[in-house]
Amino acid sequence: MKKALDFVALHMRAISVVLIVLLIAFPFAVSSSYILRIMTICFMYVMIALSLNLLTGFLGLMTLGHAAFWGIGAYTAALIATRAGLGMGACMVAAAIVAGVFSLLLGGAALKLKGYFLTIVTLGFCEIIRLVEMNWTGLTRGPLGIPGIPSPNFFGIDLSSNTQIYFVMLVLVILSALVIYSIVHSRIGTAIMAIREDDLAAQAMGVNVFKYKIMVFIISSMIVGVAGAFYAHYINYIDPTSFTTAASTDMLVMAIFGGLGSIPGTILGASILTIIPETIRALGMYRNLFYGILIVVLMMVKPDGILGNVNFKYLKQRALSRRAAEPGKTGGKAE
Amino acid sequence: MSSVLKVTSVTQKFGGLKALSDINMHIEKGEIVGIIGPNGAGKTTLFNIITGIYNPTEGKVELGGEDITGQKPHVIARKGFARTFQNIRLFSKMSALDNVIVGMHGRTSVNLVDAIFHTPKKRREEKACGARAEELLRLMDLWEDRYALASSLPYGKQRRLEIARALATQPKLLLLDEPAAGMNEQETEDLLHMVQQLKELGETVLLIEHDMKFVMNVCERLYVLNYGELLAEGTPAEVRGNPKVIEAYLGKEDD
Repeated sequence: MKKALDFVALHMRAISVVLIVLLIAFPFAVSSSYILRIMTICFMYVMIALSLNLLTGFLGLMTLGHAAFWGIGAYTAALIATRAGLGMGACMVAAAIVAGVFSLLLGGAALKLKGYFLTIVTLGFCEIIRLVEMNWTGLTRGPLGIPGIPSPNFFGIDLSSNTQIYFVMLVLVILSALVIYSIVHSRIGTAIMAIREDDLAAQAMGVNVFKYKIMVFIISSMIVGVAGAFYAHYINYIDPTSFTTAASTDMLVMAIFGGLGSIPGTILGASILTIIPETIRALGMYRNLFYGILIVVLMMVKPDGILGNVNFKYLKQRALSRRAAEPGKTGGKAE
Repeated sequence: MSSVLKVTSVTQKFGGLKALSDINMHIEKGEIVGIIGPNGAGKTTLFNIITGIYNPTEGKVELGGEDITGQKPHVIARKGFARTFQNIRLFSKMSALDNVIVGMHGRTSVNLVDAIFHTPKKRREEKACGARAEELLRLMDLWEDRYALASSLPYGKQRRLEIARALATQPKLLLLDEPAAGMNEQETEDLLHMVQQLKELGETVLLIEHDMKFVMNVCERLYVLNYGELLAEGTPAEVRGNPKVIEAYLGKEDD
């Protein structure tokens, strides 16, 4: 097990490239539209869970309001696409901006709070947004939802086949993973992890805690807002029942299941939790029971989630320094 | 030249409790100064005021002549006061190296755009930080443990890692809150050498400590606090001979 993790740590880049190549090849090997659609949804949840993990796993802010920003993104895109007739690219940019503005407003007011207090506020925010979506019928048509959202398209090019949508989402998930990876593996990343570990000590080291909290909150919300815009274009119809606190909880479960503070863990967690419910459809009415048991068992066996206490960066550093120390003792390996 | 640290008639009240009253002190460049006093004398409160965690009820704190009273802790840290904590506050799930790199936060400037696009500036800065952090870890004799999680280090090393992290901010004044607390004889001895080494490197240090042997050996000047008041100040020898100090702090048994 330990050796396997070391191997992954040392070859993370190669593994990522192989994985991406496989995912690019996937639609050419598998033509089932059912499977392609599951994969697309899976990518979307990976993107959402990654954005949440940046906020909850790396910065340490437990939120139950992530679905609100997903909904804000979805509604923004749906309204702009159906009323102004703009393409998906423009809708996604708009969704990111609007979700960002809302997170700035909420964050500016609420991020002074710590721990559970913040969680409760985000929970309340999620509910407020859902109620607005439900009751501002002039804008959102309330419970009727917004139908007729055009399928994905890019500068007038129609991308509505299952394979095309698959690639749109694949690009989005790769881009967001890269952005989050870059942030985490930078000066900003070490600062936000320091805030998670001990915000007073972080301040004493010159870290502007509030600035980073709001920065990460906005980035995270913008990414999930884009995912919301994609969702609207993909499903073609949205209504307020998708963007509830229950959806926020699902997102949180994915991030925790995979491992807070681990990007590979989040990818695994979100994938497993979107794919497994599909593979056990045969269980019929027992499906949710099985799903529940799976989560309970994992949390009992590994409360940190699948990769929650595995830091591939440190594993790699340690493995490399061991390797550097070895040749002197063993005389080195002829290669 | 103005003092590195100048505290002028600082008073701190918590509701009806007067934790500190009318404290005056100053520290010059290159000095190693100690604050001693019984538990509850207000030593850590004074540290918290100096580093901006508390805003004093009255009085003024100056850094190199600049009034920094009431500024935010991260601003003060960037201006040059770095501290360690009485109860170790490391970033426990981060490596020793990363702990030190966090200390350089205020001295580096890579922003979001640099981070996302991996600009040459980011790569350069990262390399420089890594090298400087390893240097500091060597200084504190922690280099072998650089990739270990802070929480996995033994107690004495954790204390030293906190000092390395504080040094990474390139402070004008290093504030150590009970650096030898909980250390065994040997660890205290090692720490003593390290603090003396810091003096040779030209660092200015203000430390709180209960271990008298340590304080008397390393400090050039001492401030004695008792019940929130400044009881005495002077060289270790002067303080040791001060009857008020003996009575209030060391006890009367030696008489």
